[in-house]
Amino acid sequence: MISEQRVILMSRLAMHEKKEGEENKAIGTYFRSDYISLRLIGSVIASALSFALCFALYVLYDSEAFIDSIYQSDAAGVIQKIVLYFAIFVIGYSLISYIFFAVRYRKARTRLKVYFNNLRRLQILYQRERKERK
Amino acid sequence: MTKLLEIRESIKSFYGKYENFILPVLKFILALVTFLTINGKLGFMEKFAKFPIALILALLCSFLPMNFIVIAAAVLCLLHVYALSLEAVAVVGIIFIVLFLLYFRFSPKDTLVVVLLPLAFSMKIPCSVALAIGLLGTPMSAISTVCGVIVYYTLHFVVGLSKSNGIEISEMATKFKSIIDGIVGNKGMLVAIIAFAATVLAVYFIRRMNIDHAWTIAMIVGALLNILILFVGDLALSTQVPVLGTIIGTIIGFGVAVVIKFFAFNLDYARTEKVQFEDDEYYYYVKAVPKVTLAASDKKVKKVRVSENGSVRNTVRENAAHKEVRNRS
Repeated sequence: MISEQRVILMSRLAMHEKKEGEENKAIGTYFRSDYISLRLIGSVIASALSFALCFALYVLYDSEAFIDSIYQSDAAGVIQKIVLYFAIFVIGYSLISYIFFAVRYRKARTRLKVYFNNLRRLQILYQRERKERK
Repeated sequence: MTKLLEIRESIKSFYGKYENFILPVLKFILALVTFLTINGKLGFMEKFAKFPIALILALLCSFLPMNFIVIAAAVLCLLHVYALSLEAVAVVGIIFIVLFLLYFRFSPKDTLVVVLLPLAFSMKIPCSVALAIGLLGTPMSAISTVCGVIVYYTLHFVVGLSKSNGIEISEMATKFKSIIDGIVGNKGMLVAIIAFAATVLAVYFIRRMNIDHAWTIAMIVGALLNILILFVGDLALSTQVPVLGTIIGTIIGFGVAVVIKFFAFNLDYARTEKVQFEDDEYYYYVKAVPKVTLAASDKKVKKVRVSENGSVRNTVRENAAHKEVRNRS
C-alpha cells in the first residue's frame, strides 16, 4: 500500500534535492566563518579587478588629461585620491557581499535543517512500517 | 476556458514526461536564435557569421549548462566587435568582464536575463522580459535586468558606430573617447535602465501583495509604468522613443505576461476561503485561494476481443473489476 505521508515526505526531499540541494549541501560543509571569508576573498579580488579595469577605461578615455594631471599637479595627491577611491569601492563591495553571503548561509542552514528533519521522519516511518509487518 | 485549461494540463504533463528531451531542444532553439540574431546584427567577422557555426555552437549549448549560452554569446559578440575595431572590443570586453565580476557572482541563475533582454529588445518587445522577470524572479533580478539593458545598448551603439563610419577617426585616444562617450553618455540607456528596473520591482512587489488578482494588477501597473517612464524620459531628455512601437511592444509584452500567468499562477478567486484559528503562541488569519486545475481527459481505449465461442468480452470492465478487488484486499 502506498503511504501518503511517506510520498509527501519523499516529494519534499526530492524537490529540495532538485532545486537547491547541491548548493545547500556545499554550503553546509563549511563553518560560517570559513564560508563567508572564502566568498569575501573572491569579492575582494573581483572588486579589485573591476576597479582596475574601470580605471584603465578612465585612463583610455582621456589619457592626455590624466598624464597632465600627474605631471602638472601633485602626483602624490593624485595617487592618494586613486587609492582612496579604490579602498572605498573594495570595502563597499565587500560589505555588500558579506551581508549577501551571510544571509545565504543562514538560509541554506535552515533549509538543510528542514531537509534532515524530513529525512529523519521518513526513516521513522520506514521503521514503523517494518515493525507492523513483523 | 475549460479547453484552455485542458491544453495547459496536457502541455504540463507532456513536459513532465519528456523533460529530458524537451529541455535540450529548448536550449538549442534559444541558443540558435541568439547566435543568429548576433550574426545578423553584428556579423562583422564573416568567418563566424555563417549559419553552420551558429548551428554547431547551438548544438553544443543544448547539452551544456544554460550559462554556457551566455558565455558563447559574449565571446561571439566580442569576436564580431574585434573585427570592427580593436578599441571597441577593449571597451565592450571591459564592460562584459566588470558586469560578470561584480554582479553574476551573486546570482548565476539570472545570467539568462542578459541574453533574453537584448533578444527581446531586438524583437521590439523588451517589456515582455521585464514583466516576466517581475512575475517569476526576485528583487535582485532588477539588477540582472539593468545588466541586460547595458549589454543591449552597448552592442546597439557598436552597430550604430559601424553604420555611421564613426570608427574612421584616426587617433586611437580619440577613438576610445568617442566610444566611451557614446556608451556612457547614452541618455536612452539611462532612461531604459530606470524604466525596466522600476517595472521589475513594481511587478514583483505588487504581485506579492495580499490583494485579489495581484498578478493581473501587477502586470497592468508594470506595463503602464514602463510606458510612462519611457515617455517622460523622452520628454525630459529627448531620447527619441518611438511612441507607436513602444505601445505595441508593451501590448505584446503584456500578452506574453498573460500567458506566463496562465501557466504559473492561475487562481480561482471566486472560491477564496478565509479561516481563522489559534495555537498556544499565535492567532492565524489564513486566506486560501484554490488553483484552477483540470485533469486532462484521458483517452480510454476499449479492447474488445471475441472469444472462441463467439461471445464478446469487454476487457476494460474486466480490468476495472480486478482493480476494485485488489483495492479491497
